Amino acid sequence: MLRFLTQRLLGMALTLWLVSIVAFVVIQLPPGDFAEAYLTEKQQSGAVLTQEEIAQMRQFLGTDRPWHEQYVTWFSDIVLRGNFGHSFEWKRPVADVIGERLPFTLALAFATLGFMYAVALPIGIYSAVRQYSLADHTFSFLGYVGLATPNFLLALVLMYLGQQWFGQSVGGLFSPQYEEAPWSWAKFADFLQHLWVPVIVLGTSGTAFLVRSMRALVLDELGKMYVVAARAAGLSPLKLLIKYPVRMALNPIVATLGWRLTFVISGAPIVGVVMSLPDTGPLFLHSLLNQDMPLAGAMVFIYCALTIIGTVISDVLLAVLDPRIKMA
Amino acid sequence: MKGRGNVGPTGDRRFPTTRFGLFLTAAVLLGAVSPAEVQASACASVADAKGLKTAMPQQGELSEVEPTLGKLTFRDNPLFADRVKAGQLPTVDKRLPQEPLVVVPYEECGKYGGTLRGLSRALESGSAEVLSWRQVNLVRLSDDLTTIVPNVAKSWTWSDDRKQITFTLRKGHKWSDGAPFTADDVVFYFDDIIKNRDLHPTTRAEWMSGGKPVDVEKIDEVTFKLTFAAPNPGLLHFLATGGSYFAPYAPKHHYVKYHLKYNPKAEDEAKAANTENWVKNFHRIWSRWKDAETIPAHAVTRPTLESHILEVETNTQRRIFIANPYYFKVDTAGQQLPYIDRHHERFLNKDLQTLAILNGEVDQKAQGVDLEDYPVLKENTAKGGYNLTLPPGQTAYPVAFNITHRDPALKAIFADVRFRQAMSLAINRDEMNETLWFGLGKPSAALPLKVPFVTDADRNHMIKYDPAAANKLLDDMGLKRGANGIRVRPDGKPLQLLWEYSSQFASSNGIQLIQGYWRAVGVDANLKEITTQLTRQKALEGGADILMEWDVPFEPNLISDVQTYMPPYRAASPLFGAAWREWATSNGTKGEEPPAWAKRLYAIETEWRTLVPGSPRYLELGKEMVKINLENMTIIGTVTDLPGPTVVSKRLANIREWTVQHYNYARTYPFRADQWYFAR
Repeated sequence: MLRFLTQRLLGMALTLWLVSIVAFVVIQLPPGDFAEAYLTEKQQSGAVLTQEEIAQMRQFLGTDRPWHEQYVTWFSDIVLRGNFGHSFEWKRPVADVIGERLPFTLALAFATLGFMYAVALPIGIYSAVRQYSLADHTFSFLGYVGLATPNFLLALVLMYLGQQWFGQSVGGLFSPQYEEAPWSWAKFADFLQHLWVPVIVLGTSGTAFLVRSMRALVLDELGKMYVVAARAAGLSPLKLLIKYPVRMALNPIVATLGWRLTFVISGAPIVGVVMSLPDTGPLFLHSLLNQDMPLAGAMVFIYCALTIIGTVISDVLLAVLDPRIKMA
Repeated sequence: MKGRGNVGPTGDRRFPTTRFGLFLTAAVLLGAVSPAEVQASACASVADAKGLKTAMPQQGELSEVEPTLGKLTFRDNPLFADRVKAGQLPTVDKRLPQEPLVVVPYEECGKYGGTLRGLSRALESGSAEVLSWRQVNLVRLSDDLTTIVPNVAKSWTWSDDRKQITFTLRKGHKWSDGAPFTADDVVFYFDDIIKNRDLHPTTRAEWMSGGKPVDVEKIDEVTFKLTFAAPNPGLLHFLATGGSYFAPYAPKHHYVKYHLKYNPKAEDEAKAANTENWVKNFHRIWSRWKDAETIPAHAVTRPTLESHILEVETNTQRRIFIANPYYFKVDTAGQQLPYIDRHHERFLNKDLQTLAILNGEVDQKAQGVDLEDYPVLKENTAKGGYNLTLPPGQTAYPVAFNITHRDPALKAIFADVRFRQAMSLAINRDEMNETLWFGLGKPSAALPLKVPFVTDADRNHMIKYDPAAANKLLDDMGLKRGANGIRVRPDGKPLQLLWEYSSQFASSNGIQLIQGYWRAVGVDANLKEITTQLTRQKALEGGADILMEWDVPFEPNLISDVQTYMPPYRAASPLFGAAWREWATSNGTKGEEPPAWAKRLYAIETEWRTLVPGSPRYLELGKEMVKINLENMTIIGTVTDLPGPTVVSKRLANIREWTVQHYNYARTYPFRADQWYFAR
């Protein structure tokens, strides 16, 4: 087990390093740099900037140096000093900028995870036990719709409904009066009121997927000999269901928890952008458009790190649950 | 009446009869209230002048106002009461300059309070409008858009040759932290920042004149003199409009500790703060742009003269500004401005901005509001609680062919003026106007806006939709139609252009319309949307066929930077003729020799810089520039005077309808946001 863990962790570190290079190169690929994007932004509002000014800015930001030099500075700062650098756009340490928004991304991710499991597991079990009933068909139908609807579309529809009927403020996770207020119950309640839309948007397709998996897994178990035997022995149906088939069926579901996390986190930016949430999504997109290298690089790095960590968690959980995995 | 000494030079006031002036004259003729009867602190406004007459429209100095209105008793915003009581702030009479600027409000002397809510996309992204609510500069453009009026500066005097200008500041004027604002802050800005070789290896163009940087001299605490190597009559226009985004002063007391000249340890301290050297450190906490935030923790401590100052550290979602307790203006009742407690600038994705306006979450918004959104905005005025107006200020899609194209075959075609004229005649501008802009714009040739030397005949130059004439011009050029109706170039290839455009400058709908009109006369353009960065790169390389990045100059732009109206029209992203400009600046050793008309434009530029705006020679040369550009069809115009939907909350008072809405007029700066207040 120790060897397995070491292997996985080493692999993770290596992947992270490779990802950092790819991220850096990909971000540098489009023509121009932050100075260029800044020029565009300024000229769009009507200001006229000179080439000299842009050159000075480049020199100041260090974007005039070759990319591998920039990469070495950037990466060594992160690894050796834990310093993600300064965001060009927000003029603040990248860690601060992300720190301001990452909690919302994580809150959203975990709320979504909770929502997915809380909704999907009971429905999956119910559908399996009452296979081909009206309810099963209804859930299956809704599940397919959920799987097929793109997140951003759902976000737009729910946002429209939220705005039209609930008078919700646009974008953000708080009403204006709570934005600057310190945390309180009222603020928390307001937060929850805003949270449900993105949670549903982010969670729908995952929920649908989970319902289908859970249904199939429980169905597999239900037909097995030990269930028949237990039933014959007179165990109450509910107790039997919860204690044996459901527990068995849960194994693969738990093992893929890490992947679910990954799935939610990678889905979050687009929902964040569409709904202008104060999470890392819009920040990420904006930093890419502006080629705010330190910020964009750190975000890619963090997203990748979360994904890789999620995968490692899955691997480890699987290995714990199923000894055969370690051998492979 | 006293205070005449404050009047600016008449040369800057081409049209001295302002609406306000007329009104005052009328009021006096009708025998308005005589000074003796006036109670102290009665409020005179533009709507009800109460006999007040000032040399400058809508504002005056204490010495002009008090004889009519009686001695003003100064009062301030209750917002400051606690701090005054606690001894953290001096009382208002000690905070105001000895000579505060007296603002004549449009309707009423206002009430204190409220938060003015605005939108930007991010820091320094679409934020000029919120800046314009609070910004100040030495001078300001009055809402007649022609009169330059005092602001931070109390008065100024030009030397006869317009090479020297002496500004007088206000005695006792203070920064937002209470430190005195003096001529030293101006000298510091020029000598230690702008002209410091470490901070700025080259001096910026606006402070260069006759090849030399400006020279600044402190005369006394409140007086300083700028000396230029060549006449620089456009200076005040620059400061009031395009240059209003940069303050020509900096709080010396605040910055000296970061500056190597004043603090020998600045270098070490910078290194301790994790920056390479003091220069980088300085650039991190100082920016030429008023609106550029420095490090947020620092920005909140940075003193300013503006009406509102940062209240809390900026995050990625918003900025919050609070009234500046040391702001230097009072209304005619003696109340210190601004009336409004706070400015809240929310950073919001552009797509959601319209929704936020409809929801009534915004008090004023014009910058970046698309005309396409006009119907939905109009429909929801009641729900959102706002008034919607349509001040002009935008121009649609100028199109320029690359006359100095790298490809000789295309260059030969584009350089023929008949081709450009044909392309102009082939465009159906009325249809574009109706289809894309609800018919709200005006078809026009590509011309500077709000200038006295452009005539209707100029605007109508070759803009009539006339495909027959266009076809004839192209036929005359020898461009015969091929089998599929597309014309054939002299070298036998079909006349196929590549139109790479950025959606930043044009909607694809509009471009497709033009593509259709041109195809109808046998010129085919393949459309390809690319990023702005790429269009610019291609423009610099000289390989683009069609270019669109031209900001139509308004008069203040032409006065302060006439290069926007001659090749290459924009240095950072030339339309065409970058090589001509190079030839001209290198005295013919580099680049490519320009045609005679371009040479003439460059000659005009040199003389233009020395001319007093509005003088006969100025008008004459202005006319000539217009003529040269039109005759050579340098840029093909489509539709101009497009309105920019402007949203103003119904709760706001002291609002006068915007007469222009543009960056180059500094957004709301001429319309005096510091005297707005919440009436309801």
